[in-house]
Amino acid sequence: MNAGALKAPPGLGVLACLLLFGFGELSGALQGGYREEIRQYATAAAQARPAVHQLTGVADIDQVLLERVADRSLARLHTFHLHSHGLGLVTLILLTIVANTRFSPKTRTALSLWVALGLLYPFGWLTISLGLPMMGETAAFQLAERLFFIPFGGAYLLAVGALIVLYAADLIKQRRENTPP
Amino acid sequence: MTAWVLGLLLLVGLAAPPAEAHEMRQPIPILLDRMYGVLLLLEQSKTAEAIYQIGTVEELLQTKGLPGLAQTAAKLDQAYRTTVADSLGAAIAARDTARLKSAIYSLTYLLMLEKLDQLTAMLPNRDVRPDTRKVVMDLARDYFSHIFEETFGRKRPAQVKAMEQTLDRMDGAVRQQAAPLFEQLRRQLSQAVLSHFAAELLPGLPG
Repeated sequence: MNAGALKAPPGLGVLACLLLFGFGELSGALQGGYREEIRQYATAAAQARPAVHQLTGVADIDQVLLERVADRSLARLHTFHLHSHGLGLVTLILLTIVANTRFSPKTRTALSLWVALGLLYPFGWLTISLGLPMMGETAAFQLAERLFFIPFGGAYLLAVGALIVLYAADLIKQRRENTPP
Repeated sequence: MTAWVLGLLLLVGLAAPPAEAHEMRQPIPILLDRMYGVLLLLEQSKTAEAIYQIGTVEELLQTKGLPGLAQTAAKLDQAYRTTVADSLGAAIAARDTARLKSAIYSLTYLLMLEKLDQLTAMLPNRDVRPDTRKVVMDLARDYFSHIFEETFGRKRPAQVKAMEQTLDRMDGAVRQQAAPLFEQLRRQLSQAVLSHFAAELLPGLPG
């Protein structure tokens, strides 16, 4: 990689990162501006499902259980906000690294797509935040795991692993080529 | 220098709360918080302020869609065949400080009993999540800690400590889902509260 002639990452990849940033910003703005409304939505949705949240019909017990649902729902939304920003930024860096490697164009495209798939992983937190008041924490987490964490989080981990291995291999190859016989 | 360090350590030790100091395990329910406030005012013989505070609790709880003090007392009276709501109303009407305190202590006891009875029903049920059981046990304990321990901890430390130890063992029984042990301890605790605080509680409360 030559720092003097750094290549830009693929435009679609950058757009995907920007979109994730946008979702992160939106969720942050919603948390800031509509915190009470989100809490009320979560509380009302949980209250409508007493069996899911094991509500007892005793006011003070249910008050604690419902507040906990609202707190956790907001906390997962906050995690979505943080991960959206973090992953968007990290992915942008990874795409830039991929764009500047000496890999073949096909390998670079495949790696870029693979890394970009990981951008869907934070939506798992959004799924938990929205699903928790309706189906309970365990079920919401399982759904997020099935739809986002395992496929896209797993893909991201593997993509980063593959990039490390390929990059290291290329570095060794470069050293060998540059070493005089 | 050594003396200075030892002195500092002693100060830090004195400033730190004792290990057994009461701590709330769950967010304090509005009702419990306000009942404590009312008791503090009654302790200072500020009966008129205490009665005004009871009125504001009713309004606050109603705006939050929660049952008020009188409504809660009436519900518990129905469940436990007691007369706390009537005593509360009569004490407010007569501005009787002692009777008002008794009504609030009795209401606290019934609220604690209500949580313990919920646990009795929950413990044999394997579908109830451990964290739900924990919330209920914590709340029962918080009612004891915030009102009885806070008020009587200094006046009757031995009895309060014994009841705390029973609550500790109940906590363990809830964690292990040991229903018979919990039931035995629950009866022990009820009897201890009723006998140690007999002078403060209304007569005829269930054990």
